[in-house]
This record gives sequence, C-alpha cells and structure tokens, in this order.
Amino acid sequence: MDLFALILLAVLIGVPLIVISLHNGIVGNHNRVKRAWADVLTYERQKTKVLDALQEQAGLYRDHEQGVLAGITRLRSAIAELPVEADGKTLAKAEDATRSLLGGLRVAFEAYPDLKASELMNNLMREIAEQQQNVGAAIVIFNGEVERFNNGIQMFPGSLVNSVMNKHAAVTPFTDIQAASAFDYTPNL
Amino acid sequence: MIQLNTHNARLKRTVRAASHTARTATTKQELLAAVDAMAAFYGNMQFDNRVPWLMALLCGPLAIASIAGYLQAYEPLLAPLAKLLGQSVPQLASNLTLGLLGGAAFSLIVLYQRRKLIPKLAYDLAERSSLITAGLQEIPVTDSQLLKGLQIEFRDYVRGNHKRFLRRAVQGHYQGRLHSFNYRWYHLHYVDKQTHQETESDGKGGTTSKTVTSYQEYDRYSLVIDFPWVQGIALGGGSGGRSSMVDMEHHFKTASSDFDRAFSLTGSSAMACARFAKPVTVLHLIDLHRQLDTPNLEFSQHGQLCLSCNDNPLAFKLTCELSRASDFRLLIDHGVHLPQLSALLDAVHTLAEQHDDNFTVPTPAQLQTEH
Repeated sequence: MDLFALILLAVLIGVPLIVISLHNGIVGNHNRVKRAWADVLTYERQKTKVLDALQEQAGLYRDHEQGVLAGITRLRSAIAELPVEADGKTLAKAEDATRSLLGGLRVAFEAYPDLKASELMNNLMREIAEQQQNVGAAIVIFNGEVERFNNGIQMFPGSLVNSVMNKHAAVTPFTDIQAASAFDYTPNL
Repeated sequence: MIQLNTHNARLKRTVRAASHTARTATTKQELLAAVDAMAAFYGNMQFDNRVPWLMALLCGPLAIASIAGYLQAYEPLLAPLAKLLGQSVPQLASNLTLGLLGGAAFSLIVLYQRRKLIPKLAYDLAERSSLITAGLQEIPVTDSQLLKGLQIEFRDYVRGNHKRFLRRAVQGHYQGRLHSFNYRWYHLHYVDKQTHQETESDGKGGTTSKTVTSYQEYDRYSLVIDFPWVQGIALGGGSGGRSSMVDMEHHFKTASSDFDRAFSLTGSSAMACARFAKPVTVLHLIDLHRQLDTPNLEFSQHGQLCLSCNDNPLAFKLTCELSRASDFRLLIDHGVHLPQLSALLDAVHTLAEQHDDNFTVPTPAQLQTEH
C-alpha cells in the first residue's frame, strides 16, 4: 500500500471520528448546561418551602405582615415564572424579588425586637440565606457551563459541526443587571 | 563524670538542654526559658571549629598525597617507625593513609554536625511553639492498632504494598463561629515495592534478563475530624475525576465539569451523593482542590471525616534564626502559627455550615460546653 493510500485511509477514518467526537461533545455540553439550569431552578424552588414557614411567622406580626407577605408573594410568582429552557435573563426577576424580600425582612427585624429575638425567625433567615447562597453557586456553575458550551459551538471546528448537525443557539449566561448598573464602567463586549 | 569546661562543651550542654525542652515543653514559658538560656550563653552561639578545620586541612592533603604514592618517597623516615611498630614500610604507609583519610572524614563530619545543630534546635523550638500555639497534643503512634483502626474506617490509609506506619500524630480542638470539633492529624509514611524485568546484553551477542526491585517512599498527611453532618461519601481528588482508591459503590456526576474533573464523587447511595453535591459545596471543594496536592475526603458511616493530602498542614516557614536571639524570642513569644492548618480547619467548618441542619444549630451555651 503506498503512502497516498495510507493518508487517504487515515483521513477517511479520522475525519468521521473527529466529527462524531465534536458532535457528541456539543450534545454533552448542552446537556450539562440544561442540568446546571435545572439545578438553578431546583434551588430557586426550594426557597418556596422556606417561604411557607416564613409566611406563617410573619403572620404573627400583624403590623408588618403586609410588607413581608407582599414580598413573599412577589418572590413566589417570580420563581413560578422561571422557564424550563436554560436562559440566564429570566433569573433576574426572581433574584430581584429575593433581594427585596431579604431587605424587607431586615427592616422588620430592626423594627420589631421580638422578631429579631425569635430563634425560629433567625433559623428561617439562615435557611433562606443558605438557599440563596446555593442559588448563587448554582448560577456560577451554570455560567461556567454556558461558557464552555458557547465556546464549543462558536469556535472552529465546533462551529462548523454545530451549524451543519447540532444547530444549537448560544445560551445567554446570567448577568445581574442591578449589580451591573452600580458600575460606571461597561465593558465593550 | 568529669565535665569539660571548654567553650564547645558548654555550648553543647546548653544546646542539649534546649533540645530536650523543644521535645517536651508544654508551655510557651518553657520555650522562652530555653531561648533565654541560649541567648545568655556567654561567648557567642557558635562552635569553636579551629581544631576540626586544622585537622581537615592537614589530614586531607596528606591523605591525597599518600594515596598518590608520595609517602613512599620518605621511606628513610618511615623505616624506623615501621620497625618500632613491627610493621613493614608499605604496611605502615597504607595504615597511615587510612588514618589520614579517617581523620579528614571525621573532621568534616564534626563540622557538618555542628553546622546543623543550632538551625535544627531553632526549628525544633519553633515547631514546639507551633504545637503549643495551636493547642495540639502529641498522640503516641507506637500502637499498630491505631493504624489498623484507621484503615478499617478510611481507605486512604490502605497504602504501601511493602511497608506503612504512622510517623507522628497530634490532636486538637477547633472552635469555629458556629461549630466546634475535635480533630487528629496523622503523618503516614509508606513504601511501595516494585519489581520489573530488565534485559541487557551479555556481550556475546545474546541477552540476559534480571529482576530489578525498587522501593518508592511516600508521605501522606491527614486530618481526621468528628463530622456528624455527612456520612457515607468519598471524594478522590488525585485521579482527574476518574476512579480513585477511596471510591465507594455509587458514582455521581455533578452539573459542574470543573468539579467532575477535580474529584471522583462516590457514596453509599446516589441519594447521599446528590444531597452532598450542593452548588455551594461544589464550588467550595473546587477551591479546596486548587489549594491542596491530591486531596481525598472520606466521610465515614460513623460520622468522621478524613481529609488527606500530600501537603503537610503542620508545615511552617521559619522566618528568623536563633543567632538573632531577640527576634527569635519575639517569634516564640508571639507563637508560631500554622496558616495551612487554620485554612483547612476553616474549610472544614464551612463544609459543616453547608451541611448542618439550620434548625438544630448549637446555641452559644452549647458551644462553650462542648470542650
């Protein structure tokens, strides 16, 4: 067998293997993004379980009930609206509602010494803060996987395989608009 | 027993006393007393090395000269001495060569040992200070049952196909913001024996094969911590995410590629793994993996965590020499700190915070009485 035939054979075997590997890599990365997004949703929705207990406790403090209850309702509806498809943009509303509720609770704590001293309320606050940390961490992981996936479908030769076979669109990572608005600087991305 | 009263003998006695303190001291005051004794040593804190240097400089060149055969040229001088000792001249020459070589080697060994003595004492005093500052106490490691017990509880100790033993162990107590726990530190030394066949030419066109045995020595450091919040989980950090020696029966992949590349997460059940792999824990462990060399974490079924790695968390950098007595005293007075140990214990406390039950957190009163 001459050299040309050997090279041709190597190309005929090697190229399909590379294409299959790239295709599977894109599928794997896309599934990971979906899973990372599912984790974000899971931890967002776990917050609603704490909200039940929080609602009950807030009900004991009539004067402040309205403010906290409105905050809880707003967060509940924001979490319920989260889409199944991975999209960082849609998280902003739920994150904003959580921030607003935690802020409201802190005001209530200062205004009502009984509330501040309540062990159960403190534990609930700790639980909701921990859930929020988990949401934050899940978002960090999600954004990392989104970057990996987007690189995979936008860089050559993955971009070629994606445009012909996978046809996935780039996923939007989560960005905190409120936090970004606090900066004077905006990167020219 | 007659005691010499030379400068070197007095310095040696003072160093010996300070070394004893460095091994046995339980308080900072004892260490400071040893440092003060060294600082108060009249004369400087250096050995008088004139004699060994003189011996080395005389014996060394003479030994080389005698090996080169120059000694034989002085046969008329050696002959009477040989006759007196009842030896032949060549016999005397070779004995002299050996004597000169021995003298030169002995002088060099004495110089080397003296050079190491004071820096070693400084290190030993600082190490004892680090144990006292961190509230650590030595645990005897002579009992082989201790290692056997650890091997039953944690797979990380099942190492070394030739030999394994605990070199040292200490125990302490950590008081965190929310939780407190007891911990033990172990230094495991193990030896792997490897044999392989080597083929070499016999010089006659053929080959001979022989079995070559090699021994590789390793050290592994671990913290064993009372950790009731997680059970039945193992994380192998040295395998690039592939199966590791601490693996349990159920493998689990997280949503993070970085974590899966860093650790092989396994557990007694998939549910236990899923509960453990919270996003905050995943990020925390990725960070821990960056700080440590080949870390493994095993959460036993009995509520104990074994965090092991190739870095020694009790390692410290000696920033000052004993010859600068006032600075060294200040160092011991402030206490030598173990930043790696503190960082590891803080990391374990963070893990505890992530996995405790927020509704059964210990009250401050409980924390005080847990000691």
